[in-house]
Amino acid sequence: MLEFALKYPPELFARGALEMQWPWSTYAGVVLVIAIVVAIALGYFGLESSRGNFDRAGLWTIRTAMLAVLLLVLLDPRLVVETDDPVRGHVTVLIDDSLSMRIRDLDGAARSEFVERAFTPGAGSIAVALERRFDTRYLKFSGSVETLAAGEHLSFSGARSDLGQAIESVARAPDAGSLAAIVLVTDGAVDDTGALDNAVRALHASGVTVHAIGVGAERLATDVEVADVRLPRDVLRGDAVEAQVTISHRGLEGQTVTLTVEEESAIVSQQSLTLPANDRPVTLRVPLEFEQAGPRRVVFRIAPQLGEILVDNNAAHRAVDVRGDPVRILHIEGEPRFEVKFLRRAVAADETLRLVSLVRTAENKYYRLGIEDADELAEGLPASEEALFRYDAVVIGSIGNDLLDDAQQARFRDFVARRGGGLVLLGGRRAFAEGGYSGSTLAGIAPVVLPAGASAYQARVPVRPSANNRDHPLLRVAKADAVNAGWEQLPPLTVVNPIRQSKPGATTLLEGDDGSGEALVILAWQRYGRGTVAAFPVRDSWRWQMHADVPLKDQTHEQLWRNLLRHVARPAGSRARLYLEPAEAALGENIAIEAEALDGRYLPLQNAKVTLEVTTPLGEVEKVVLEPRFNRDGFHRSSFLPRDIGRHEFRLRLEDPKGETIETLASVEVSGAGREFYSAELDVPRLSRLAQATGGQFFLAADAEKIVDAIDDTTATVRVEKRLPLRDAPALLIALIALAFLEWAWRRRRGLA
Amino acid sequence: MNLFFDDTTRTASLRQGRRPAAFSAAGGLLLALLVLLASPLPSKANGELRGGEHEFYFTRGIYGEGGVGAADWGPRWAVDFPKADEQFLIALRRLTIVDAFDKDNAIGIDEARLRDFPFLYVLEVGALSLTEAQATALREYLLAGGFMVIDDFWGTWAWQNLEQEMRLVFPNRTIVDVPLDHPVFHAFYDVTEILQVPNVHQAAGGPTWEYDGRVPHVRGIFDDEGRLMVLINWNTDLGDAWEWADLPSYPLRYSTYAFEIGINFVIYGMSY
Repeated sequence: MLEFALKYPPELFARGALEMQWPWSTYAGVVLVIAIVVAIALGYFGLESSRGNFDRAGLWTIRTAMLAVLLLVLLDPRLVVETDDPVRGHVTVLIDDSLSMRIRDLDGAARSEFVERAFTPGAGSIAVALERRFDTRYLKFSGSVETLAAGEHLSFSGARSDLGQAIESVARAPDAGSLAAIVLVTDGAVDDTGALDNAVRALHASGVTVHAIGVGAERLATDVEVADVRLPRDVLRGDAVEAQVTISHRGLEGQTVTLTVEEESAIVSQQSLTLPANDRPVTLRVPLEFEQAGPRRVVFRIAPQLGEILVDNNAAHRAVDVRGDPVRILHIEGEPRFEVKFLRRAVAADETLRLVSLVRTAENKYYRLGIEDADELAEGLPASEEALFRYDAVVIGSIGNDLLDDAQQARFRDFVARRGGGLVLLGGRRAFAEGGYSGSTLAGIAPVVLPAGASAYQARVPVRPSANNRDHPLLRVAKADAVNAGWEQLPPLTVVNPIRQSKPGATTLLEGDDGSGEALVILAWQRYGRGTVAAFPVRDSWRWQMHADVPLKDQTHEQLWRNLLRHVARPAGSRARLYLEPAEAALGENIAIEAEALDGRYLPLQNAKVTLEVTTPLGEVEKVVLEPRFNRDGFHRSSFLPRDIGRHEFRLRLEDPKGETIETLASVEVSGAGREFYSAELDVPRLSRLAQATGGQFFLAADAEKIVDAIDDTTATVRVEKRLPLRDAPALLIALIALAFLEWAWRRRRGLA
Repeated sequence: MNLFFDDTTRTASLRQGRRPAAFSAAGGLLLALLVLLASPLPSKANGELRGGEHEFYFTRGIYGEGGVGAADWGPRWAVDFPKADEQFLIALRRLTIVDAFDKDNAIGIDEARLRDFPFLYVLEVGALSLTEAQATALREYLLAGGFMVIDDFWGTWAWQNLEQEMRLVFPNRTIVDVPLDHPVFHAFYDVTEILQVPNVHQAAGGPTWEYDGRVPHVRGIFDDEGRLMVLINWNTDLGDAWEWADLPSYPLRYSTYAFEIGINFVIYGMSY
């Protein structure tokens, strides 16, 4: 009954919206309104006054209501509602056009040959069968998605396989409303797995089915691959770093292969390894040292093995930016110590480390060593952030908290957290808890837990690497041909700051054994904000240089200090910072650029002139426009699309309002194939899951023809917005009649008729 | 600088002079015996010090003897010992904030534990006679980072002996003058001239030199990186100035100079 009166089901009114139309001109509308007002007024005053205001009011109300209903009809009301209307759907064939499809692992034939034979629009065997049953459309994807016209051939030259983005593009296309099914033809080696998961969820929600055809061999018979290389991207000249190289393999159990490392085409390392059973990946640690400043290309390579059909994955390239400018280190001591002398001697030969020492020799008297000019540290301890932030790292020795007040300590904290500077807390009679730092700001950022108060502890303690970190690069103190004592032969060191606990997340590298049963922490470090803090609570590391048991040529003391200072100083960047992603890009892959401009206090710098130039492998210089990011002060962003293979150098120039110019250089290696030939075996699990998640099916290439019958009748629904007319709804007529009857009844009842 | 109280008794006893030529041989022997008995024995009580308790130890090198006058005054390495050392330490602790052990620390220069003490003081090197082992030990000590200050030796004969002995230590290094703009002269105090510091007897008046050592020199041996390893004070006696700074008759300017330059040596030796 209600539906009859309303003309449409009541639930449509619940989810729809009412809309009025005014078909005539504004002038007509004004005239109508005036007419209604006059009619209402006449209706009121025209009523007989002998019966009083009650009758007048009642009748007036009824007539006004009738006029309102008439007006509503005139306004042509409509119900606006969205409905799903069934339509005839189409099938989209999405074909992988990337380089990995050229792999010849289908009984000697390339994956691409199968695809062309089966899915060339209008000509492929399966394509023709699909077109007979369905409205079939073709798209090709690699790093982007494009339409594949009838008769057009695929190039299989894409350097990326962004399947997730491809599926999202299909789902957002103008004809997505009639999309019934996707036939995916690919090897499943995708680069954007995160985007793929999101796209699949969206498809599942919209009811689109994905059927997958996997092309390629699930397992290569014989293959070795440099699967992954972890290498710092930013190092200092002379840094000794470690590359972690993961090698995966098939069918080469027991075989010995050699990993060769080249830096700018010169061999710098070779390591042999025997490949284990069960195709287990192997991780090698390769020590490297970068002696040349500037962008460096490092290649990790294994020679092709007998029987390998895929050799493009036998090498991995990495870009490393080697900073040549020396890092500035400030060493502060509250009293003269031999640590000052021997630390300076330890790093003197390292041109990358420039050490300035500030030694308090008497009350209000400081001795400055290694200063650049007479003004440097002329007033003693740096009294401002600008003065302190000029340094890349600070060593704080035996200087009590009576000399480093809260403000100073806060400055050091910000130096680490905001500036990205490095901090080394060195032991001594006025350091750590013995210096009054328990519960202080410095204690808060230290990687170790300070005891609650000072102690009279003093012991000579043998020092050894911690069990888990013997191979840490920071502890690499001997070159292969060095005459070093070895950790076990080194003399014990004096500890006057007993610390037995590192903080969670800190790395403990050296421990001491004082016979108490609980090890002492001798060297530990942790990240704090942008920077690094290390604790080295010993009084006299110089004994590792002077002691009679240490050979004169032993470099343990020197190398440990160099490693430590480099380690903490390395993250400290300049005021102009450049972030490029990815570090190794494929041809045609966009490089995302973020640039950060900072002032002398390393706070975001507004109104700075920031420019970026890119030098291509061909030597051409291109300017890149940077746009400020309004939601991140000091940040600018852009992107760059490389068109050449090789090293691209990005030079960022910052000119601050004071006229100072700062430059930063970073590089990206662009390869022709990207990651296409890595992990390139057919990924059956991924494609199966993808199909099942959307209600589809997965087929190997050998069974691909079954796809035609696997696809259901393509009935799709399209959501459309409808405007349903209401002026002829019975409810309005009923209302008019009811009101007229009501007036008649009133009059009869009241004797007005 | 007058840091100390008068000690007239000690002054009187020392005015008998250093070379009792007027006495008979027997009397001289008796006097020498008395002096030996009066002097504190070279203290080995602190000889078992291992370092580490303090940042700085004034370490006096004990060496083998030979050369002229070796037997006259007892062991030559022990001249002015330990009072000069201890009084220097008083000044060092008073005028700086060096965490210095306040007692003497005498160690044989070929002892392994010398390597626990990177600052070394050696004097009266006219009597220095190094064994091969001592020369090797000294060489390694200095090349490892040790710093040696040589003091209180006079005249050409003593210099020649030192040169000869240092050639055993460093056959290929030369001894050169240390210029006044070198950091060692400005590490704590600014020393702008080299004074000849006389011994306690000659400080009262007359020539300040001994033998033909009329002109004081500060010379040194540098390492390959240009750091001073050995600092040689020739024709001067800083030790006596330290030892007798409390003597009213000992001229203040010599004590002042000796303390200042000595403190500079320490600060330099702990910094470079």
